[in-house]
Amino acid sequence: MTAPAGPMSPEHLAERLRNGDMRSLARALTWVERRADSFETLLGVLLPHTGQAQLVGVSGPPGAGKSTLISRLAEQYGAVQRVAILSVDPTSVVSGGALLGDRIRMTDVSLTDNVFVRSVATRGRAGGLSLACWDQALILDAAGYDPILIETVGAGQGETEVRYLADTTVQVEAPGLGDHVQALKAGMLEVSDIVVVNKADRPDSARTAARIRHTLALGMETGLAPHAFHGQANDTERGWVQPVLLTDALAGTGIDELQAQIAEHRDWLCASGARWDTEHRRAARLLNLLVDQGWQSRRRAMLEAAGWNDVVKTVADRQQEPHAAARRLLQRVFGDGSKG
Amino acid sequence: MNGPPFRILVAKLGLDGHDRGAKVIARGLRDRGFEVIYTGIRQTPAMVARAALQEDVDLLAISILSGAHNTLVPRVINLLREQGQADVPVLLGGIIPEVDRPAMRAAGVAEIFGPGTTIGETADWILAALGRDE
Repeated sequence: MTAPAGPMSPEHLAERLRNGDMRSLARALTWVERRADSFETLLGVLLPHTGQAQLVGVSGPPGAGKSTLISRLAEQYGAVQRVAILSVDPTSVVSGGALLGDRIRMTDVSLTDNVFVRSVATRGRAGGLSLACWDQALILDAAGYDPILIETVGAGQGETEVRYLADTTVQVEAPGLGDHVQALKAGMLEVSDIVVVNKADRPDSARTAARIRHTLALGMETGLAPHAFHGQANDTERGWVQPVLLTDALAGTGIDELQAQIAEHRDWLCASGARWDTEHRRAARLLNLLVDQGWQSRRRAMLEAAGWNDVVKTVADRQQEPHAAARRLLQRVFGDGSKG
Repeated sequence: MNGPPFRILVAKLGLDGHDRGAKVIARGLRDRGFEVIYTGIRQTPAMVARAALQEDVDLLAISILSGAHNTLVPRVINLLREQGQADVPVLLGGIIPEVDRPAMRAAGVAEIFGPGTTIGETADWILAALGRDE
């Protein structure tokens, strides 16, 4: 069953993709990415059919083996259920183009009818995801894919955006990427649910895993457990302790255990009530992103009306101290004593 | 590039590991503002068609230097038609002898670029084919 090439109503597109038509699903993912005219209607029609899938974020530094690990996971899931992969790579800040290369590790597994792979460019967003990812995950959920594996751009210390979108996050590390102090810094390590040390065939992999376990245990000792995320209830106190697993994605070792831990985390989310926090955090974050987007386009006009260009010049000429200049700009915009 | 970036699949078709041309094209088109999905080497027609389907690409660029184009390229184009993507232009790059070119065009290849083609020529052709002249 394939969709005709012409324009299609959002209702029709929704029906087709829910009936398993891959072409319609692929087009819907493009609609939301390009913000096509009726994309909001499409999302609205699909919304009642969402909320079933487990969104699994997979993050980690470039070259740790995220794509290979994900293709192995998809292979296993694909044997019994439909599984989708959203794979994000960075957009060039210079050209606006992108080279999306994660699919190289996934073309075999994408031939299985149960596996849907989509590559996504960040299109100017920091944090390791594109804005469209949020909508695309919703569409894949409505199409009956579960789990949805979301691969962030090669990341580790600042790209924590996926923590908001995903129900479960997996941080993939590899041996030989920096000393013990790297593990002590902030980053995905402290907000991930499962930690994987990939390339377990390397001789120093066990030591890397031991260091990570040590760091995570330190967090618990100091009372700042790894899951005390933005002031929400502490996951560790509610019974989830981050497992640190060893995998060798190329050889396919350790994938069963990872799959089992992902399932266990899902069960724990429901049983502990942490699922509600996840939903709430996700909704608040997405609303924030969308409001910010609208806000920023208005902000520009408001600041220009308040004399933005002149103020930039006085600051560049070192005639004005920047903090005071910013405060005066805000006062002009809001017409009050806003301290910014 | 004005408007949202086009999505282009660059595919290495068949038993052919010579991927420098494909990589240069992929990177060059990226530098011209395209979103390029690269498949990697040794792809079957089914893999290439599946990638074109799931990625909902605007254009497919096939690189082939093995001499198997007469067999493999029509298979890809037939699969595209079967899956409702007859409207996706197919570009061919690599070593395609002059004598084979009419048959490739008859099979549905929109344009053939041989050695010596610049990135600029390719990018301009693509933008014109997709209806966005600069």
